Amino acid sequence: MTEKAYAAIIGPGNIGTDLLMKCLRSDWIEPVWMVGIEDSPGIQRARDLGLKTSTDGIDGLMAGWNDRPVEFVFDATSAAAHADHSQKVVERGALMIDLTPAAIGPYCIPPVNLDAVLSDEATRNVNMVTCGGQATIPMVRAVSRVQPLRYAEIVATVASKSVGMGTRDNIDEFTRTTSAAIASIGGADEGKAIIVINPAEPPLIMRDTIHCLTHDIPDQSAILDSISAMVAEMQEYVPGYQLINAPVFDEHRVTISVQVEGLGDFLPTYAGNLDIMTAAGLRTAEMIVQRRQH
Amino acid sequence: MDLSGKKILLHDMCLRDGMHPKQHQITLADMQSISRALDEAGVPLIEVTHGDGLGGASVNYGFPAESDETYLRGVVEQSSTRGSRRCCCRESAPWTTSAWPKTVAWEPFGSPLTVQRPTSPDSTFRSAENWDWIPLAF
Repeated sequence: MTEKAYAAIIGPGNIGTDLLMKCLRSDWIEPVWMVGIEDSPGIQRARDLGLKTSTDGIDGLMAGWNDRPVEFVFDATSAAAHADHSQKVVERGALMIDLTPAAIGPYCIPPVNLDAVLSDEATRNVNMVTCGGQATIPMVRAVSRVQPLRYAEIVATVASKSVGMGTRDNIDEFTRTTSAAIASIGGADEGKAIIVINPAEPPLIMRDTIHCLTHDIPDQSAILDSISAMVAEMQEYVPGYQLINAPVFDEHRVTISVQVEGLGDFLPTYAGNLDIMTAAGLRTAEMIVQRRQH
Repeated sequence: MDLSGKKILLHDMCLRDGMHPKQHQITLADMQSISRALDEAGVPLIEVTHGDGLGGASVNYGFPAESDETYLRGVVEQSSTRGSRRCCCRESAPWTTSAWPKTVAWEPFGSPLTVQRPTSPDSTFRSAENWDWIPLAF
């Protein structure tokens, strides 16, 4: 019998609620707290599901901590609020999994560097980069592990309905954090990120384009094999992740297009950008628990 | 529409939005001569750089003939432009300095204008704040 680890979620918006749905199915993590700053539909939903709730933000969680301490806290608020949340949570000895683009802790893209992140047990804050980063950096890495990249650029296209207040407030942080992570863990000399928020009705599924510029002529067959292997790894925790069209090779440019279909846990399946972020955060926490128990 | 008594401010963006049909390849020399002519004609706001604004250079949208900084320096530092005229650019990726919002008094607006945030990523050019040029966000 596996003993589940307790977790708190800060931020009852789109991302926090989607994460809650996934946590409820987890064999390793049990969500016990939902933390918001007002009595919102997200808080009410969590309360109905039997979670303890705070409508007084992080202070409410701290005040009630001893009633129900947790090992993991997921922050699904905003970059500006995150530093304060992180400090208070880490002081209590919990591990902070940061779903905002604050990037206080090391970047974590599970199929790219989860082992490296987990190997440092002193890490108390892990940053999940951004939804666009989770969807695209594995593809950048799939190419850069074959041959060096002088530049990689990603264009993440997401449905307007899936972009909540916190995400909109953090577009600049999205751009900067994603660009930095494309270089530092994607393996390109230079990174650039572009987000397109599409208001079309019905909403469009998340689609991402990844442009890689290689130093030398691309080794097409090796790159195709590497991409296929990486897509398979992604599908282990995001089943709706798939290539659309074949990668395009044009001199030194390799262009890859992917589509991310969500599980429809909270918003409908077009909102793959929620799933890929919350699935990556949950997977990180689950891996930590699994390793500890084996 | 009755426009009598209304103050109309011309904002020319042919050297920014007009970059799109030119695939962002307008030369620096052309930008300088066109902006000088616009300035001499009394156009108060002249927008320059990549068609997608600052930081627009990309595989997706195209790489311009010159960098944002080269275009802006080339236009702003022309002697005829460094004075009453302002050069501005479309926001593409804002920077992070904390000195904003700030109030800019400028005659063509009639009254002081509060600029909520600057329009350039610090990686594009930090020097812009020290210029006669004032970045405006719209």
